[in-house]
Amino acid sequence: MSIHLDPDKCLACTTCVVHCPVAEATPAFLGPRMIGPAFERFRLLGIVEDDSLKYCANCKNCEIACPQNVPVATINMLARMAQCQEIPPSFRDWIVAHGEVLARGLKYFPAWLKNMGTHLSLMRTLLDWIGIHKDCPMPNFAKTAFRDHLPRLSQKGFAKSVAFFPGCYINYYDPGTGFDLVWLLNQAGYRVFVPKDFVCCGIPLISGGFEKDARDNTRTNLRVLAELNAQKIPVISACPSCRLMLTREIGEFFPELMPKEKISIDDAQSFLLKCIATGELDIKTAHNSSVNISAIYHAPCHLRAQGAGLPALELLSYFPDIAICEANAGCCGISGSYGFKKEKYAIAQSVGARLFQRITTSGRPLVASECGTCRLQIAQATKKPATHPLTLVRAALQGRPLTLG
Amino acid sequence: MQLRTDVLVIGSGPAGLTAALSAAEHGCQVVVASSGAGTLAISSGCIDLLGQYQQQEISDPWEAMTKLPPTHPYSLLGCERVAKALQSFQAILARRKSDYFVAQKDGKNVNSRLPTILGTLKPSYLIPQSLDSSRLFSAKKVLVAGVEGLRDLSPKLCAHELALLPEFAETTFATTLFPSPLSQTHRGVSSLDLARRVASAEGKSWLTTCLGRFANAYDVILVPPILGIKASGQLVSELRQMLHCHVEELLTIPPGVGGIRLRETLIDEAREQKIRFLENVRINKACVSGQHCEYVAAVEDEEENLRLYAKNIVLATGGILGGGLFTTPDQVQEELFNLPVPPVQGQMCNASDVLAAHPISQTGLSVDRSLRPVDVHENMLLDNVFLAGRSIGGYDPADEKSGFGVAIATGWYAGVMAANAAGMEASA
Repeated sequence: MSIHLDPDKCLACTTCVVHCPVAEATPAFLGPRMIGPAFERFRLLGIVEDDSLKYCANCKNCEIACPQNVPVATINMLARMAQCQEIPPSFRDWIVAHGEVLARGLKYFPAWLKNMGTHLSLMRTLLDWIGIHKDCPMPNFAKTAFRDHLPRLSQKGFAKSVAFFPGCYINYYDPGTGFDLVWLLNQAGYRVFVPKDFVCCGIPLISGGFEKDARDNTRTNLRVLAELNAQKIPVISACPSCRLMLTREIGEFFPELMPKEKISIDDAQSFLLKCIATGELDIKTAHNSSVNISAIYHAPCHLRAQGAGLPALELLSYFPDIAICEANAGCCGISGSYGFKKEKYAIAQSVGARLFQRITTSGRPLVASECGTCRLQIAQATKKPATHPLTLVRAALQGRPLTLG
Repeated sequence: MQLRTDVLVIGSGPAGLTAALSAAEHGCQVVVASSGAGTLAISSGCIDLLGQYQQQEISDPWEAMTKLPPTHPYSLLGCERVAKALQSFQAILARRKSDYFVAQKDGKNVNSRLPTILGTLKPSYLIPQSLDSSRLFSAKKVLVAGVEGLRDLSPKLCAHELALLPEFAETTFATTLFPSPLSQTHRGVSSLDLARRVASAEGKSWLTTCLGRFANAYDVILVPPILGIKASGQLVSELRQMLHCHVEELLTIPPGVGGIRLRETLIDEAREQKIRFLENVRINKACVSGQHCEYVAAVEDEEENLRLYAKNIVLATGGILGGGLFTTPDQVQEELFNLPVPPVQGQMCNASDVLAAHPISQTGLSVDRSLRPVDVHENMLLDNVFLAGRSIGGYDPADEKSGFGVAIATGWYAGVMAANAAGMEASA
């Protein structure tokens, strides 16, 4: 690994330091400017890595704030991958980065057994011992993974197809959101399929420092994406982190893998907005339903980092039955698996405190957010159900009351 | 995604936020698109209106304003509009319970002179209570207090330099270092770290204890900007009352605690006005037909991430530092509309006196009296684009101490003009 991004665009203005949620939570972190572009100059000289690099959560708020377009978090992740080649990451770090590999390995165990494994206090003590905090929120495995269940759905008579990149969260823990998307796209006249070779987007692997594994996944995904793009089949994602990785990040991490043709993958909400604009998706029926939904929306950091606005908010505003307000209170703190880690748990809770308070005082009974782990963190901290915006859109369009577990 | 709005403001610095608020106040639907968080959070939060004229510090900015060259943004707007802009801005701050004020002298609004960590005095106009320096100039005994681990402020240097100024010939300065309230830190402590700590109950009690030990012995205690992270000034007045001593913040280097307080205030107001924010959006494509901008877009790898249709656009993208103007070794460019930037008047590179005004600071786009961009012959180039803030040329914020003053004046007026052009009733 010898990619170094140019640190000299940084003017040391400290805007990123102001907006870094981790730097606010702990003075043990050198902060984005110092650990990113400033320390990069030391790295170029071969000077030993600063230990506090481990605190970067890769939440991207530094990049959102930077007026000079310095890829601060990407510099940090490249440095972490280089560091992990010298010092192999721990067993715990392997586990939290390889959710997909684990889930595949455990495929033939029933969900209840797996979930007992992640919720029994004895198991939590054991996990805590290896470094996964005993109080951190843990997702439940679904009975059947989304990708296993999808072929069983009858999707006949659709002339158009759309390829869906489900990501690990929807696939293993939250297939319901996937089915809501399938239902919505069926309404718009699209058959939805998941190409069998799609693998984890690699963002947890990057954050964990597993460069080779991330590269392997990227190579596979790029091959599938290139084939789909060549066939002019639209590809969509409903997870902001997956889409951030597949559209913006891979070119920075693995420029040598990038094909000549542009790789395109659309945001699910944005795609549905287009369907409404073209008339493919008729939302008139929604105006006759009486599913009153009142929710507060949290924009995931990895969505804000994409710089394409907040399409979910836009989409939800089409439905008179949905009263939505924006939380606008920054990062939830979880940053994928960051908040699971024993030594980061308190930081993650402290980062999210402002958001939790905003949600609690909003009086809204429901939280909407595209990101699976954001929802996990928010639901645990606020005791309010948290759902994907697509679930609300389906409920409003179908006139079907929400059932939230 | 595509969006439609009455007014699109590009940029979220002081000019952009002011423009957005003034357009919203006039009934417009407003979207703010920004790339980066703007310069507010690295500033002191002071609104410098006009601190120097022809390199001389001035007390009455309004008097000096009438003498500025006709191409200066203040001259284009006229003093009355500048005054109106500031009034409107102050009204917003008052509504948010922010404690900004302007010093008075002989019944006139005048500049304040604010001490900095380097022991210099800087003129500014609209300032928060925490920077009220009125007592400093009559104080007999002044304490400059630093904090252990806060390397930005050397109390000894600050006190030494202040003591050299003729204003303080009768004043005695002493210094101290408060013990750090942050136990172990891996990084150098900043004022922001301390301000955030002081915002907590333990931090407040730490500060009260530290100040309490000296309050009786001094008329004024100068501290770095650590008095909390809210612009309400509540903590400042509480401390002053409790300690019977005038605690005052020094101006310092970024991160800018005062600027963060102001930014939060403006953004809170914007949220209440239902202004929508689009972050990390690099607007780099403009579709113009004739003199009318049809839409702008953020394009990446030939793909449009976002397309924005706005009746009117306020371009508040900043100058060279903020990313609104782009420099090559021999010229300055504006990249979105490719507006002409008049060539730098004078030597582009090094000047012999590095501390003197430099022509590059005057560089920027030319506008007419309605803040629409014009070419060298003063022909209007775009009919629905209005400029605000640092991308406008013809003034030198560093030399004049007029940065945020111009940002707010042009921001407010650009917002009014955009609202007007969008068919809203706006009086200006």
